[in-house]
Amino acid sequence: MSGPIEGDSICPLNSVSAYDYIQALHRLCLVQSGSDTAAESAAHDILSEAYKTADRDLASVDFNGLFRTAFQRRDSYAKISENKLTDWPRVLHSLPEPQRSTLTLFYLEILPLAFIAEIAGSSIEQLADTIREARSELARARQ
Amino acid sequence: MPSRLFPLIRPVYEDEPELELVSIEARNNAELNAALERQIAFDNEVIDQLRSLALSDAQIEKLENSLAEDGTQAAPPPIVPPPASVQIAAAIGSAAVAQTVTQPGPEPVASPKDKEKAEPDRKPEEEEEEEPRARPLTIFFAIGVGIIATICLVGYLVWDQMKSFQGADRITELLDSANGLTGDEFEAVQTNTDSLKDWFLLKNQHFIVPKEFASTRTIACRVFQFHNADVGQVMAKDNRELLYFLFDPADLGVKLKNGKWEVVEGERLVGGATVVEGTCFVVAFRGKHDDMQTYLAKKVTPANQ
Repeated sequence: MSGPIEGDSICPLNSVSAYDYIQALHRLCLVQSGSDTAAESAAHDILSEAYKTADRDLASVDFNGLFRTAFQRRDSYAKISENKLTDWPRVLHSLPEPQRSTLTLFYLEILPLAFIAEIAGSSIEQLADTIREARSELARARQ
Repeated sequence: MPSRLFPLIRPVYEDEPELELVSIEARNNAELNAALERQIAFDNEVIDQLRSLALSDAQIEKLENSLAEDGTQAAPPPIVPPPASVQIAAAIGSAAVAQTVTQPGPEPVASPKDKEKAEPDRKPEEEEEEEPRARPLTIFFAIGVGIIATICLVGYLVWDQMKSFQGADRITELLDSANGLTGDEFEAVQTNTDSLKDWFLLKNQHFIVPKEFASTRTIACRVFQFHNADVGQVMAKDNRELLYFLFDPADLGVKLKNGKWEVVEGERLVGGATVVEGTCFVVAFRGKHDDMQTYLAKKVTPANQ
């Protein structure tokens, strides 16, 4: 393996690198699961599936689609009694779904709002409502 | 009264078409702008902590390896972090606002310059990955060359074996044994080769000299032990100084066809060997393989072989 893969040479929709997408996917899975191990495993599975779908060509991977898959699997994690997240990530994890995943996607700042709305199955206005409610929940839960 | 989309306003999203007007409206209203700044500050705090959750290099490498294991045909390119302090806003098309949102971590995107740098790096890699497999014609050609080379090698070994004969090494030793002679070892016998039969008979030997050499004038003779075999040795002279060796071929393990001549080269002497009526006869002189071949060609007519 040789040569860095960066920027929109990999991800044609925008100029975010594959590295950024994978880090963001891991964050989403981590907030959803509350477990580093589960997040790593989930991120691997999602990326591996997309990689195979792209005929093992990293440049052809639908990186935005990774987040759609992660959003769809948001309830698939086993319940854990105690997570290792701290501070705001821990509070984010405590939110109910779909607020948790939707607000995390919003905070990742890696996808266009229209795409986040599409993933969440809502309009842009409904997305705004969800973000407002989730943000309020977040602030309350922190207090 | 803020717009319904007000909760979505973030610097990175402000250039998105859905938020463009809402954002301008909020920025132009002092009360809304203050609320927006508070919202942004709150979000920034959460986002900063969220960004601190990052896969380590080891975890990224592990992920790469697992992808490589999944894909047996081609390993994926490495997933490397882009240069730091670039704006994530570029990812979603808000270059202007992005200037205000410098990311703290190893986040986002590669700059156009970085992209240009990355491009030439990728080309050799792609070429390497897309290297065509050998065509069947090339494979057949390679196999053909291999077969021909093997045939040539076998042919050479057979030819090399054919041009030699059993006991050639022993005759080479015999030729080399004459290198240290002084002449004192010999008994003066001045006659012709044909008359040597009687002299050898007196020595209890029954050596036969080929008739082509019967008239050669002899100078001296002797019988000596060589590897427990009795060997007759004759110094002779025609138009050059010659040395003859005569022995029972079975005693030295020499196998030659009766009347067939073979040339053997020693360190200094070259010998022509043949077997006549149970005697191995070697004629030797200083020279090379070609000299002996020329000599024998003149001395021994084809009819005599």
